[in-house]
Amino acid sequence: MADEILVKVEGVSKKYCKDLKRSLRYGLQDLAGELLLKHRPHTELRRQEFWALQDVNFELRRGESFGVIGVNGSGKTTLLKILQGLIKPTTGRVTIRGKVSALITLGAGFQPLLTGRENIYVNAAILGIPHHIVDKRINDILEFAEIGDFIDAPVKTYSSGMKGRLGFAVATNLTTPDVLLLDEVLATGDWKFKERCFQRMEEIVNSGATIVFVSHLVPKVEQLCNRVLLLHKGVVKALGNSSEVCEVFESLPDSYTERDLRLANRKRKQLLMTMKKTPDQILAGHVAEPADQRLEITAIELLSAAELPQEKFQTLETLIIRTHYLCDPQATRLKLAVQFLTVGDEISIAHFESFLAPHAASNGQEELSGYADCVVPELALSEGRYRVSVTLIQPTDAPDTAPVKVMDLVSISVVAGDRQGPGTKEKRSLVYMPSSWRFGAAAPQQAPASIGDRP
Amino acid sequence: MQLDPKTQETLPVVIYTHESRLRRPGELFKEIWTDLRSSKELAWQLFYRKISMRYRQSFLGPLWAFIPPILVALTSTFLRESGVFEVGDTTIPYPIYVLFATILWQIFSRSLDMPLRAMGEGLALLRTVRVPVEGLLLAAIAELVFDQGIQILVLAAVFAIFHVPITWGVIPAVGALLLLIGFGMSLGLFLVPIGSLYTDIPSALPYLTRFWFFLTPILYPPPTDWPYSLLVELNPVTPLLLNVINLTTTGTMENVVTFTAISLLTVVAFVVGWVIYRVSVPLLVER
Repeated sequence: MADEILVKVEGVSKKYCKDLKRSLRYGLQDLAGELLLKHRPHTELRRQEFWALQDVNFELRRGESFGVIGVNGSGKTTLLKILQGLIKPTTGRVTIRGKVSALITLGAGFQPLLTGRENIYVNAAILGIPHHIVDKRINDILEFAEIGDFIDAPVKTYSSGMKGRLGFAVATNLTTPDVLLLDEVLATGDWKFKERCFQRMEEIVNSGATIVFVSHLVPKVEQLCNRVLLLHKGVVKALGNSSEVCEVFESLPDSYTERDLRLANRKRKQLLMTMKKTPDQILAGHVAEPADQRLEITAIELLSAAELPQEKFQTLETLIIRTHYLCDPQATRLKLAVQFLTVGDEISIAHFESFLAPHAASNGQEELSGYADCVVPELALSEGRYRVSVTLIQPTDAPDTAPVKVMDLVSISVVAGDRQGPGTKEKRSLVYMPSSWRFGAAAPQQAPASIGDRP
Repeated sequence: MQLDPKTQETLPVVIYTHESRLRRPGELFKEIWTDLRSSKELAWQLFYRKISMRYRQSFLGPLWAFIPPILVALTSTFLRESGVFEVGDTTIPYPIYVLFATILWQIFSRSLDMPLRAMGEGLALLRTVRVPVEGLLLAAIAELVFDQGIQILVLAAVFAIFHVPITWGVIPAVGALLLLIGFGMSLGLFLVPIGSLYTDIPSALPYLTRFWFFLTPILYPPPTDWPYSLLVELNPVTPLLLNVINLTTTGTMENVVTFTAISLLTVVAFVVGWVIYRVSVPLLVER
């Protein structure tokens, strides 16, 4: 029975139209085709159409957990909608055995004026669950959702986290599906709730259901799924063992190009400018920077131990971050902060700060220029791309004025280093820690009796 | 999970392909039937949600269901008394005739409007969850029956207060009333595919219905001289509507031939319209 195929997707493609007016016209055409019993698929692209999904094939057996990953717009949601039967494939065929339940949007059909309790019943009915089953399971739902007394308050008074919890509780405590489709439903909610959701999902997998899990959270997909499909621009890039496919995903052409970096830089600078201004200036649309504050980062250089510019650094190599700056000659003290960030600024990996006295020589102008080196003797970053952000702050003595801040960003590539021992390369982590392994056999007479004579 | 081998065999299988659903009519009808049966709960919950939402944020609450029909009755009486417009004789007191006919017209026009409206309201839901579309329609029918049922209660009270006799024909009149709903709904079902894509149809519908209202003997008794009698003969709503009134008040039927023809047409159109509605849903969801 374990070999039983629950989901079979054969040559599924789907095309969409970018233009609304045209899309409506094509809609009518398709409708006419449907009513006139057409049986051959319309495989040519009409004007303004594109393939959202092209020739997807896979089979899922009972108890499998299958991940679908890909960047935004790669066709993941379209695939899920076809699996759910919400939309028809343009070509191909989907066969599903057993009860399907989908968690695409939490709390579909929640009505703001009805109470949480009433909404449980409405939501359950939308998911196709009869009243008497809800009556039996309502305590489990309430316990999972942790809404407390608010369950009898109108849902419009709920926070988005509460709504999400209630939706997830209803959707997962009432059904024992054969096939469970999950979209990025866990995007909301705090980590504690997410943790419980994943736990619940694991329970469902263990109960013998087949799960299709669509997510951006690649590490979670890797942890939860045994097979993964990678979609890129509607085409299957890879399908197979989860860790292999996740690796392919990581190695997709880097979308964080220099252009993105420049954009990120410009945004941060604008933000800083705005922060410097008083509310009145912002309201007046005042753009000019106050003239008396001269502080600028002119360049950031990434240098090797020999103080030579270098493009790629190895793990455990020496890195010098040299910041060239301009400042006011009167400035006696500056603060410099260097930060290592993940691409996209989600996580700060390391943060160093130092005060410095601008001892740089005057360049004959009204400003002082100089540089500061931040020396990292052993770069503990793993292979990958990161951002280095430098912030220069001129503290003020006056209590009411905000310190002047400037900021700049560069990106850094780290490759696996020679100094790492063989077999210690750790992939898809941020930080490299030197580590070694030791193995030993426990002496038989010292082993606890309960374990017995395990080797 | 230990699974009984027997349940394994009965696992439902669904297939989604590009092929037109109409190519397998047997399967389609079976699916419509199972969905219709399984969507009772959904329909009830949707109906409950709609009705309780409607009155929850109001002070008068369910009283609002009674206010409109009473107002119509009062207004038409006032107009009649003031002699603003002269009308011919009706079999029952004129204000009661108008009230009755207006309620029936409302039932018809809401039935006409209902499939499109149900689709419009349900589309957001249909985009995210697979729900039996039959549930949406059933909920809309329940809402219609609830609203108009209250109006009919008011009407019955008016009949009682003014001692207007009701004949046994009221029982077949219910059947004629169902035909009136069915006729409106089948026209409405045909409008769903185009009307959900292009908003022109839902926008134009109220104006067309209002125009149609004046072509139907509601504010005036059915004309008998040519060419005005064409209103009765060519307007398919007239025989249905008038026969509900006639059966209730006099126990007789008129225009039996036209009535029968329209009834048969309604049954066929209803089934065809329902199927079109059903197969067009996935195509409408993606647009």
